[in-house]
Amino acid sequence: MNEKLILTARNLSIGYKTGKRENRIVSESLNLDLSSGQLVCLLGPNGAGKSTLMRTLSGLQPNLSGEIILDGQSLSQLKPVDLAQKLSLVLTEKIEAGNLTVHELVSLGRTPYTAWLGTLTEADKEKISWSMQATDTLRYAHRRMNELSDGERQKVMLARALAQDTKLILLDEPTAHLDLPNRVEMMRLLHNLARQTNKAILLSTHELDLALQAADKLWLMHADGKLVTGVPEDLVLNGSFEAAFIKNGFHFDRNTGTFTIHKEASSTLIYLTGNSSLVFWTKRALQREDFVVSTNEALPYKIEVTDHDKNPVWLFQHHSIEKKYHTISDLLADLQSIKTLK
Amino acid sequence: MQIVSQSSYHSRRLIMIGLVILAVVFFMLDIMLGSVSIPFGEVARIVFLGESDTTAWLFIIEKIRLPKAVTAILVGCGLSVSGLQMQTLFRNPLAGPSELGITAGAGLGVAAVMLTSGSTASIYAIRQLGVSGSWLIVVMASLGAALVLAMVLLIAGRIKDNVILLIVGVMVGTITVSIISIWQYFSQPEQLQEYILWTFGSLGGIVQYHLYVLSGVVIVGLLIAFSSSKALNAMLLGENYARSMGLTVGKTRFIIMASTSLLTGSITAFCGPIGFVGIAIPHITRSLLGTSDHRILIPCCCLVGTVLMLLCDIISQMPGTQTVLPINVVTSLLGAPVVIWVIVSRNNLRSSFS
Repeated sequence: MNEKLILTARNLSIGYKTGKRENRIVSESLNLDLSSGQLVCLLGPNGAGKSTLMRTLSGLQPNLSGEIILDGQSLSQLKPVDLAQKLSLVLTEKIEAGNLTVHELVSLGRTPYTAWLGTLTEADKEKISWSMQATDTLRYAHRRMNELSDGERQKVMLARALAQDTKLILLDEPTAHLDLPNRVEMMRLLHNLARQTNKAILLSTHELDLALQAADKLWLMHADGKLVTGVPEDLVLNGSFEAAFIKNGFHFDRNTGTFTIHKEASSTLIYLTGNSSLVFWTKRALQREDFVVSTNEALPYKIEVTDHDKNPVWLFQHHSIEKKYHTISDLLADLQSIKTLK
Repeated sequence: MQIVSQSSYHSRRLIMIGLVILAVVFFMLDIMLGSVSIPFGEVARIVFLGESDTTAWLFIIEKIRLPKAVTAILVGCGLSVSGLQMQTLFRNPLAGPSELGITAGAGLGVAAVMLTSGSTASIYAIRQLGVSGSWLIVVMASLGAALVLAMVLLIAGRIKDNVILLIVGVMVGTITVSIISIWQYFSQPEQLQEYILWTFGSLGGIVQYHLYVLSGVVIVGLLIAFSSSKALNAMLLGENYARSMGLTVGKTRFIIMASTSLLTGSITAFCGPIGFVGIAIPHITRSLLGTSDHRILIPCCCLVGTVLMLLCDIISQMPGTQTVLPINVVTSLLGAPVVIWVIVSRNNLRSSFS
């Protein structure tokens, strides 16, 4: 695949003009690159400025300083019609045109290309049906927008952006209102589209684990507006990922790639070993009860999980005491006494 | 592959043909019926050939009923299209020329002409002036409408809530009406009478130059509206999407405002404030055709508006009696229940706008 730079930002400052000379800078000296065929996820805690960055890159809001080059041309100098042929958007705002059919809405994506009355040519129609096929929305082409579920709606909005036939697609929290299966499907769809169509796709999201799995690159925005970019795995291993979301009360588990809730100070250490899938779920339960699972064998509390003919058995050891449990519920009930002992 | 289903396309065509037939039938009925009944054959002869054995009938039809029917068509087309544009512009099902105080703004313009320029400048005196007088009143009414529209738009830019926008519209309308009231308070009784008669609304009395001016302005307004139908379609998705699809939102807003002000202003100037046409007809048309595509909606709004305005005019003449009801009363009596019906039975407001 030939990767080509679609969007570059150099020394970019984003924010709002609050007065004639005063600016409220959200983030500054940003240097960003976006190549074709890449799915990039913009992650960051609430209020870090993800939306401001998305709005600035999409041309809805002027940048305070620096330069954005979109497909060889300066973003600020592109005429609206030319910009619309290079960049398409999927926004979080809910569409209030429920009377439109899916096909009518996707057809609106051809607006930058059609003549004054918006009559569709054969080429337009082909592009529309292709984009509906690619997003699997063709089967409800005649349904109205208000008859669709949130997941279906979001796919239709993506189909509209595809029909706009741009090298870059920006999506602002496309998974926000969706349930888990729809979120996974949306990310998978975007990932495949980036590969198949060689488009550059940038999306902002709060789905950390999905982003880690699907994104080719991550843009991590810290709460102070600092932005770190890189391949997801690199960012996890060098600690940037953890740093971006640092907050009291939870920590990032590098082994599983998930954030876990626990209170560090009052926790008891337990050594846990055994069958890996059983260990995973046992660990979850223990963490919920404020225990910290360790790999240090010398600890006074030990749990060994084994699988006896598909029946899990938990063997709890504390000095000379040894006890067997058959459910996590029983195990947790007894573990409560350790907590109170302390 | 055929994406637009054949059946919906056919039913849409049937509805349009039906509307055209209805419009022609009501047009003829409107001319036939009134305090003096004229047989259909004579009506057809006068309308198409311009000749009749009875000079009185010829006079009634050519000088009174034909201009009135044409005015009814202009009002039906103009107000409904201006309502449609406003509903799309504000993305609000409750927007309409009279609801958001645009008609009141046009009224302010009219009042400015009628009440300020001394006792000689009643609307009939202005009508005596011919072309220049009618242009004056059209320009003033359109400016008044544009002023209120700009104010509401300015406030609407900050507030996204439908109901609040409507309240703002009503308030701006109230302010405008109050200004007119102050003006009325200091005016001569003769001027007042003229103005109050004007507020009842009337499709009659618009002949010759005035009719040409009104037709010209309404046609220009409709053409602007139709030519911006692609932009209106894009606006359905909201401003941000519209902009991302290459639309210059400021320019589009200005064009839509110009068209709406021209249509509402000119019609209000000549016919008085006519309520409910602007809000009801777009809803009826949308639910009839089941589409939000302005390339279809604008011509169909014109058709539905024509049919219903002619019907209202027929009712206002109270066929068989000597009485004539003010047109504003009839449109309100018919229009308000229609709006309620649309909201209740089809849940149309929700399906169109959320």
